Amino acid sequence: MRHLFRDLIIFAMALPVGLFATSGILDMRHSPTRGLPYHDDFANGNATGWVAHDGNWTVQSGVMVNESNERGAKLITGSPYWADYAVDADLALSNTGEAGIIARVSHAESGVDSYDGIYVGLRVRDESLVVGEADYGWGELAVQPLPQPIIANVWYHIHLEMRGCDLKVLTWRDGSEDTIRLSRLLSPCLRRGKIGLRSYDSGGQWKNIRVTALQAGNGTGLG
Amino acid sequence: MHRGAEAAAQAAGYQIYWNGPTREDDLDRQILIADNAVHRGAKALILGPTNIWGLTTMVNAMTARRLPVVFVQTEPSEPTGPYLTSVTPNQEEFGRLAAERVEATTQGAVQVAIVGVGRGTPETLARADSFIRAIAACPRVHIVAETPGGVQIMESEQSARELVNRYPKLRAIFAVSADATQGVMLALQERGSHPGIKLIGSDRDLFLAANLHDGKLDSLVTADGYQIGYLAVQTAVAGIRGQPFPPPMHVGAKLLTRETLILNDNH
Repeated sequence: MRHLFRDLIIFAMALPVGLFATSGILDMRHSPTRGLPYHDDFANGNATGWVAHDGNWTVQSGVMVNESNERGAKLITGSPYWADYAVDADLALSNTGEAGIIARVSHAESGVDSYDGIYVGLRVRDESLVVGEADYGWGELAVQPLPQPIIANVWYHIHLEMRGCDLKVLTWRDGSEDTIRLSRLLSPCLRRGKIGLRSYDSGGQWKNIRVTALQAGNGTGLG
Repeated sequence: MHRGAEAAAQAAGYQIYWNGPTREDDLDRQILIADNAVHRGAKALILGPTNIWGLTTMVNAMTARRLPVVFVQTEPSEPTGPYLTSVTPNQEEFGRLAAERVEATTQGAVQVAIVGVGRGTPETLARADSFIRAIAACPRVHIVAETPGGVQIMESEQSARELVNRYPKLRAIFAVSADATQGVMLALQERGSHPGIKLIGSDRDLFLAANLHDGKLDSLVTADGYQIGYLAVQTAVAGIRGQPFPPPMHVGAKLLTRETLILNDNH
């Protein structure tokens, strides 16, 4: 009886400690900045942490390559709890479709527009920078014509910021000083999610993927 | 089509799960997507088939379970019945309108070709057949080739490239699907401008209307995608509610030209 009483006392004392520790771990796991800043230069030659939904993805000399022209192949990584962040990537198209990056991604699965998220990419068909929202359908939010045609296998940089419902995008061709800028206030908007690489009707190459948490004061200052 | 489907679903109090394989010819993935949707509780299926012959077993299994199935874009290979029907464009009109356009915009002896015909996509066969029948009434127009490429842009692009090289007097191409239209357009653009070759495309995607506006193709035969999506969901919902399935429905086609597009924009 005395042992039972002692065990109950220990259990009663341990319970709040355990609950506190568990909630602390959950808080940490659910943190919008957990794992940030994130950087993958694919230097180790593998794609650990990335999940493919269609496409034919391989790492080649520090570059992530999708050697398929499927419509809407995706490669996803990151935390579903990432909220306000900037994504930077260098990308090159393999042929005449489009390629880009996706942000605040959730519910991704195999299929054309089968995810919830924001897409920013370069599209050869109308030589433009495209911003859209996928929700198992496609809604085009903005199209900004580029001053020069997109050239296959040439590197372009894309910078995407999502702060609240404020979206800002910068892009430029490697070696060029012409920066294309685009900003939109989305209403409503997706609030959190992973990041990813996506191509449509084109293969593509991506390198130097960076994700940075946005706090008050940092970012492009655009718009 | 998606917007029409969403509108009908919302009006009926249903939700749509909308998905498709990333490769136009990926039949296995289309079956997997459909199976998964039903496994997760979908009450009806609306299918834009990648290849109708490959879907027979799955469709039979679904209808045997009394799950309503509605085909869009092309009619099913199986007979329609209490759990299977279709809402499709009037394919006959596609060929007829394209033939009338060739006749109206050309003079003298003319060589034309058909691009994008595929056995797995019967709508492309039906459009090509009706084009051949309609053009027979105009003996000065001669069809020199009918080439494949129904669901592969690159295949149509390659076909068009070969046609242009092989038939220097080619004056018009009828592309029988959206992908074929895009493929032919790429081939014609790649070789520089081809003012002598009129491209009459089929169906409407995100870009083709803009391409028509920009003069990259002569004209486009389309059916009202919104109406097809709306009717398909309305029919599927009727099936879910145990109401009798109607026989296959056809939505009329119309010819869009740059002039009619601009006219519509201005109104």
